[in-house]
Amino acid sequence: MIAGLSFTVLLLLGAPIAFVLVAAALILIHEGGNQILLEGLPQQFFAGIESYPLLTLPLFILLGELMGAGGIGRRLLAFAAALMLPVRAGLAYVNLLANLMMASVLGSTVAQLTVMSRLAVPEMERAGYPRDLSAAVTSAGGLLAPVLPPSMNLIVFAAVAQLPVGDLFRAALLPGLALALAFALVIGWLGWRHNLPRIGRQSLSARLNAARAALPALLVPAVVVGSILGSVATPTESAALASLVTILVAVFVYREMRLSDLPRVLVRTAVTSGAVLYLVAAAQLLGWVMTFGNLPHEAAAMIRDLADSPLMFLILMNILLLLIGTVLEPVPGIILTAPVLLPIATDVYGIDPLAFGVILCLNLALGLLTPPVGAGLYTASLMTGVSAGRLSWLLTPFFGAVLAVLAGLTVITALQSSVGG
Amino acid sequence: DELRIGLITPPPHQWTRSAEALAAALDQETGGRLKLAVFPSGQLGSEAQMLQQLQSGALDLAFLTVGELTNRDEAFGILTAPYLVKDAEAAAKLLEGPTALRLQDHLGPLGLKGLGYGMAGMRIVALSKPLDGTVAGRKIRTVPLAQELDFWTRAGAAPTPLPLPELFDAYTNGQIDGMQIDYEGTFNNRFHDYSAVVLETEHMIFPMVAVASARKWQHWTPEDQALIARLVAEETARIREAYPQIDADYRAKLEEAGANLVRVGPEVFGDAVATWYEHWRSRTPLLVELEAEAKALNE
Amino acid sequence: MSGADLHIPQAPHGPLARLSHLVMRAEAALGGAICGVIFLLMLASATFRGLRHPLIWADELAVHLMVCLAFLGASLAIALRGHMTMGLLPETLPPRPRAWLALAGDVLILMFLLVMALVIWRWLDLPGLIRAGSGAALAQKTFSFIYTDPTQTLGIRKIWFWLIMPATGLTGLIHVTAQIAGDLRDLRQP
Ligand code: NA
Ligand code: NA
Repeated sequence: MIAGLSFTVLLLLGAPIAFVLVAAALILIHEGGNQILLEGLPQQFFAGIESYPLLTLPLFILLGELMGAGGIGRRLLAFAAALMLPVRAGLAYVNLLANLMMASVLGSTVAQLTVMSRLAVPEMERAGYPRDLSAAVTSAGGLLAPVLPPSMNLIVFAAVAQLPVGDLFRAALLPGLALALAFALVIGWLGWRHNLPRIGRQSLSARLNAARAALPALLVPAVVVGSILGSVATPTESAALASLVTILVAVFVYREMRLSDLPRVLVRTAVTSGAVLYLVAAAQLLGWVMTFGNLPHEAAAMIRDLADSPLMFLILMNILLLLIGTVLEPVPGIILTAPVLLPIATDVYGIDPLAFGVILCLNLALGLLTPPVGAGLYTASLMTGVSAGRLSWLLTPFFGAVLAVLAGLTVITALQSSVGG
Repeated sequence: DELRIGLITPPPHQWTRSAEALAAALDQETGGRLKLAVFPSGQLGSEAQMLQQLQSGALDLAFLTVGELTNRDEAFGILTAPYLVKDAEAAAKLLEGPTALRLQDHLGPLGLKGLGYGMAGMRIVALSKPLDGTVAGRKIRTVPLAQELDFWTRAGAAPTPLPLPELFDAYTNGQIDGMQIDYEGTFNNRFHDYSAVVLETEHMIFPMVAVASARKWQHWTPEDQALIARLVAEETARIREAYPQIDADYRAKLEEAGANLVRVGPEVFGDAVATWYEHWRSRTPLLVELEAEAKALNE
Repeated sequence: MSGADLHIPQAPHGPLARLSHLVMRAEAALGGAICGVIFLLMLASATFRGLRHPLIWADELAVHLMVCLAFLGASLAIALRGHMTMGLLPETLPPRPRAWLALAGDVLILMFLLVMALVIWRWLDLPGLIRAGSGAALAQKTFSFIYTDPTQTLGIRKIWFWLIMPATGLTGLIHVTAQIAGDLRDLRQP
């Protein structure tokens, strides 16, 4: 109670979110009478983000910084625009399409939106889009990464549920495409509402010039995709390989960067990723203290008591997950909730575990962009200079699109449950 | 009183089900005085994190794999010796024997109290490309445990520790060529669909150690100590008893699913088995006694 | 502050501010170096695995460096006023109350860092370590294994990485003290 109250007040006063999270964890420890947790607290704090998948964060931030500094992003987007028909908000659709393609290779929202925000936002701004709106479109596109296969979230859920990853990937394919379609509708509406620019009519020779200029730049996404599919690198390592190619192309082909610029780029990467990583660690620490107090279990038991049908169960679960997602990252969120919710879903309500997993993972992925704590939201904010508050406001229609897809999945899943709708 | 038990296995896994059964038994036998909350799937953190929680007394009980323990005391690695026992039944017996019991004394200096052993399925090998003589030259996913890395290196393979969440992508994309796993894990992840061959080596036990926090143990009454020790021993015995059947069931499921199961002998590892023993007998002398015990069981 | 237009502030006033500035420069350089090393480690990891000689220690080292980067980042963000906030109220206030709010915010950060310093101090238990004579002896006496905990593949103890926490706790205190001094100076100006 005290923890929750001071949490809200401090946040509104503008206190650093990461410190507020750790302070809330300390208060919760004190209130719960679990002082023994303090003895190893620094160690648990450190261990909370000792995770290999998190390495994507600094590496993709580095890749994004390099692509921005080296003029790679500009040329790639010009190339994509050259392929596009002259429609309203054309560049925003290009952005979505690029996100869709990247999502079929990458499985992490933060990795994707980091690169995309360096690649697309400056170009959209140059073409007459407001920067904040461009950042919102780009961040939302990042949500496609964990929904369309491959996906880190689905892999973690598969491990918890002991389900085949391949089956989950297949189950997520249609919902992922539905999400992309919903985002396209939102972009159409935004284009009309904000009168977003059309892509100008281009002559064939202008299009060919753009393509030629982009040819070396195309090496970068080719390396990301090729090194993963060509069994050379893990997605994390692919960011490092692509960074190397970016440096080579930017320094020796485009000559827009010198090797002496590298230290500055690295420091910028360190400042951005350090702040976001500490925030993730702080949220993780709070999650650990809450787990220790058995809160996930109690929440699951409460839902079970309240729900009298599969639909009711799924609705309450979605609300709980949205709340958890405001603070926690998807992966710890899955580990905390799936073990307590899944047995109830399958045994009591006869819900298909694959559909359950897709709903759970999509819902928790949204948490990356929802305030007050979202690694995706803050990375995008740091990389585009748009405040997190402004960004989350502009993301609202996209949140609506995600909720609409979640609602559809929820109703379909409830109707298909063996207990009946 | 609310006690806590932590484990890394997911809810459907036998270890987690046994932990739930333990919680129910403890509740019943004490008339609700002692409750046990079960934290599966690594909800309280990695095994290294749980170890710290056990040491400080924040966590009461845990089912630990031998990985983190071996990292702190090499002696635990003797339980993962290659071709130690002929089958899962013998493995279960070996874990009840005097050497395994003596090994539990090594838990004291780590701040733990040993309460018996469980196990998972016998280790087998899944390969993405057809077998051609030996496993030499392949990138095999293992856990980063000295004895295991050493074994695969001696076999001429490239042991590649990968975090579990990376395993599926790495195997299906071809960043690794194989893995050491059990029938259960192979079937649950459908790894056989991505494997040219599944080698029924059954070359290694996968032991689990049931432990209590030594610090918490001191605070319990002798009656509670005895009760907890008895109930945990009952559950670990049930796990040991269950695994030969679990292995057989999943093996049958794999066969039905059309997995290319091939029974092979130690020769797929070249001369790794012999040289491994030569090396580790001197490093961890308790291995010699364990071998003698295993030899009697295998006859 | 945003990564897009990160600038390192110049010409600090007073010895405390100069110290904070100096420490911040060092932290930024160290952070950049860590990012560079993580980048190289991942390149090496992919390359050597391709050559069938996987670097068994590369992942663990990269992950540990990344966690150190997180704690460095927390201290750096104090110095650069770059910590992420919800920041609804401060944006709407006139200058004078905003200066007071800034002071209050910095005092809260100071209090937080002091509490964390206490938690870290008790965890490290230096007096206990000196009395016991060794990390192993301390572990047997107090069930605190922090000086003996091993890494999995690096061959060194975890404590060498954990030291980033007391170190950045200290630098964070330097930064926030310098900022409180700055807040007070701002408030004295009419
Ligand atoms: Na994806
Ligand atoms: Na969130």
